[in-house]
Amino acid sequence: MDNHLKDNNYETVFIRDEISKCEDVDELRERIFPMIKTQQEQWAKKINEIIVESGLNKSQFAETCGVSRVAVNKWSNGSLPKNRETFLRIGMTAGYGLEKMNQLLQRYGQYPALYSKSLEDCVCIYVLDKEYGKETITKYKYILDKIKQNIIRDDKNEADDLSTVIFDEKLSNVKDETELETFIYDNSAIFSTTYHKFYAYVKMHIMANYSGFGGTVFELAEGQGWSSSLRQCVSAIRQSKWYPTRNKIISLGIHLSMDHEQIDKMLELAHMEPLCAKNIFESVIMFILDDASLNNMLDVDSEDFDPDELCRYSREILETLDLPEVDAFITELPEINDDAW
Amino acid sequence: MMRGKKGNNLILIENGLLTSYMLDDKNVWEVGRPSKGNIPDIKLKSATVSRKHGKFQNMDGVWFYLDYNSKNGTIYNHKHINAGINGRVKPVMLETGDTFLFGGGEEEVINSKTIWGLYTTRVFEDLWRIMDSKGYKQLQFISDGRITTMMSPEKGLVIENENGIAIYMGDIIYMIGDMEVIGC
Repeated sequence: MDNHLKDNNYETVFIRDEISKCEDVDELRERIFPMIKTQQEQWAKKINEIIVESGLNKSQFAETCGVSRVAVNKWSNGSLPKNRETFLRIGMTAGYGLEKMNQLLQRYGQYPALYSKSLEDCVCIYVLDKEYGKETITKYKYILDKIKQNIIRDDKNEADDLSTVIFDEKLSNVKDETELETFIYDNSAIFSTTYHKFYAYVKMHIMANYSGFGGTVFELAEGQGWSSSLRQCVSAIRQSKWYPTRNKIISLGIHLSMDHEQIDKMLELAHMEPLCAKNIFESVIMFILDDASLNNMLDVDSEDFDPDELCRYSREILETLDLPEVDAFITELPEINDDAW
Repeated sequence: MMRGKKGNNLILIENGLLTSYMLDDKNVWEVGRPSKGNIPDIKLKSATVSRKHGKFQNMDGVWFYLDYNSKNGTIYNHKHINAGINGRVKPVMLETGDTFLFGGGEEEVINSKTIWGLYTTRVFEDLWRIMDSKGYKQLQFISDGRITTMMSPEKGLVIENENGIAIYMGDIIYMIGDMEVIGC
């Protein structure tokens, strides 16, 4: 492990410990946020370099990436793109190869490296490997759309126990788009089982704790008045065809009152890194979860069952902090004064 | 060479007696101490086990253990299973080689009152063999031509590979498949 990574890990563990010592939100804001700022500064430096190196101006860069000019401006000032897909788009717009893309995802985005057994990543690895240059992102979107329209998920077809190393090798031997399509269809069972354990984990948690809602994710989401986007996500989980995104996983965990360990487990099953203390939003989530577990331990006899308690609490904390990048996340949480229950 | 077949297998050792459960035979296995009107699928006799202690459950082919926040609890992979936020049940997703200790309280102490368990995804057709290992300080586990040497191991040590399994329980070693043990 190189020194940069070692220092990085050391810092992350340190911040994580410090978060667990925070008594309240004010302390979190005053003590922890200044430590994390450097991460955002690093990102601001990086993205500005990327834009300059791409030879595009900000508007062109935004257009190629498929985001608004405002979003690019925010990045330049240090706010992090909110999902992994956006990091992929940035890397493709920058004309990155596989190694640089993985570094971008892991070091700046705290996301997992490209994973060939996930459909999107598989296509991304292919287009990076073929060095399409400026056409990379267009090719990526085109191929992915075409494949997604045609793919048939055949659950009866049992996936071979192919190691990821062998799978990577097979993918690197794919010569052209037609071969790629064949490769993907032939291995559709592998793609459909990529998140199999993730789905099972979420479903099991719901069955174990919400049998009052008929035990299905869908009834639970309906019953609690979750936002339509989160309802779509749980309905897709039930049908085993949701592509997990990081903030949605965290949101789901909060809605299902999962603790820190469980949210990390979901992230792991979705092939992602655990919650990261060096991201402001996630540091707040960690604080909320630590605090909720602690309060709970002090109050074990409480029989009050409010399925939305953790959501309300999260909303309360997040709203007192000014974090524009998580607006979408906040609006998904139930209203504080919503007494529908 | 004999290799273990794929399958979901739970091995329990209570009072020196080893029982193997083929989990795939059912979707849910209730674990508990039998009493009037309560007949669990996996019957544990120890008084430290709750009547309704927990269950093993299959979800879309993936096996989980769920503890009912039982009184003396369950230790899973050397760690006590705690309840989740607001007392929620925290199902644990099982992987081959996971170990359990039922009814042992917060600390992992293996004794005659506790029940030890192993989850494995390998099934062997032969029978479990027993070896007396009283007084041995050094143990050599031989399987598939490879030797693993252990000095005074802890009770509950598992040596597992594709060809065989050995479980060290102090005075006794349980073995199945291609596995031999030499002690001195």
